[in-house]
Amino acid sequence: MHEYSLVRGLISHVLHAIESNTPCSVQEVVVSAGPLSGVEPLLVEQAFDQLKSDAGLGGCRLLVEVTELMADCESCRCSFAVQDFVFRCPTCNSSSITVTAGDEFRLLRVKVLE
Amino acid sequence: MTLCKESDCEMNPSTRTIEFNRDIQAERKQAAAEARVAFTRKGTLVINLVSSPGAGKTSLLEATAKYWKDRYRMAVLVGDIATERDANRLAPFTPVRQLTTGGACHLELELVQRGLAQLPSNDYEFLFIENIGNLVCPASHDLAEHLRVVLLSTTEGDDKPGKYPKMFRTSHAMMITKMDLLSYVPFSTEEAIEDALRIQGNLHIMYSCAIRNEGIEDWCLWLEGCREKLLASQEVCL
Repeated sequence: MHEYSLVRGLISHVLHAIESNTPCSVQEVVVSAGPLSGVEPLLVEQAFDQLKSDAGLGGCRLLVEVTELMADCESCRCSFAVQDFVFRCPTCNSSSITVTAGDEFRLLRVKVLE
Repeated sequence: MTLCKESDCEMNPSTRTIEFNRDIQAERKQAAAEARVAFTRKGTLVINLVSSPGAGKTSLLEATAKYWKDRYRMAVLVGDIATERDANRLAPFTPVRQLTTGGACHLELELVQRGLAQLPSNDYEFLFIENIGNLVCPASHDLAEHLRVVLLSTTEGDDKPGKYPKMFRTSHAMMITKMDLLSYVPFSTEEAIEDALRIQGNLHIMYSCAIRNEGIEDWCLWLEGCREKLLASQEVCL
């Protein structure tokens, strides 16, 4: 499953980030995923639950924050929430837009016991 | 004091929050971007062909190789979960290597780079990556391509673009394939195109029937034009 590949990457990031802390000290990992991030939050949680023990993160909880799909219009400079995956500016109808949020699977923060 | 069951380490109960706010795929994307620059410097235009299974990726590549013959140096890396059928089919017409994932539903850059090393040369003008037949997972994986071309066949339905927004949003062109079957299926090219353009307004639209060699010249001319722009500007933008 696609989410397994990405969650392995997530776990690798976490283990690298905690440096001298032991994996079992990681209490909570918070990630964000939006409509265009390419991951389904429920499947991310399932993949994490299945993979965490092998990494020594058995006691760790994963929280997935769902973010909105946001974009900026390059023509009229307005910012807007993309609705129904229609990538057109609601103000000027331009299709020259840049997605600014909701298209990535992001690691937000990690809580560790000291 | 709390004893940790997994490692018997001692911990005091205070916690520390480490802030990141980073893309989990940042390193992979950086690696892909660097590989793309290397391809650009070599003058190799890299095309990632994506579609559902059976939309006609291999047929299009076969027709492309036959059209160009020796005019351009092209090569193909073919991704499949199992078998070497597609590579065997293309081998008489173009240098090709099969990338077998053994179960993964998408190609990743590392596998592509391993396949690249197995090709007979490193001096191609056009490198095609035929991705796994899947409109979902490949959308999230940058294979260092300059162009992502999504194939949509007339037999799939004209409502598909909206169902796979990430794939169509991240593509540069859409090729409607199997145009010979249009009169037999309830497929509206206008609706499919409108649906796709709502998601990605910059999509270049093409049509083909590879088994009849229809649309192949336009496809190849478009690719040649893209490569010329890449050589002139040394940038990905078209």
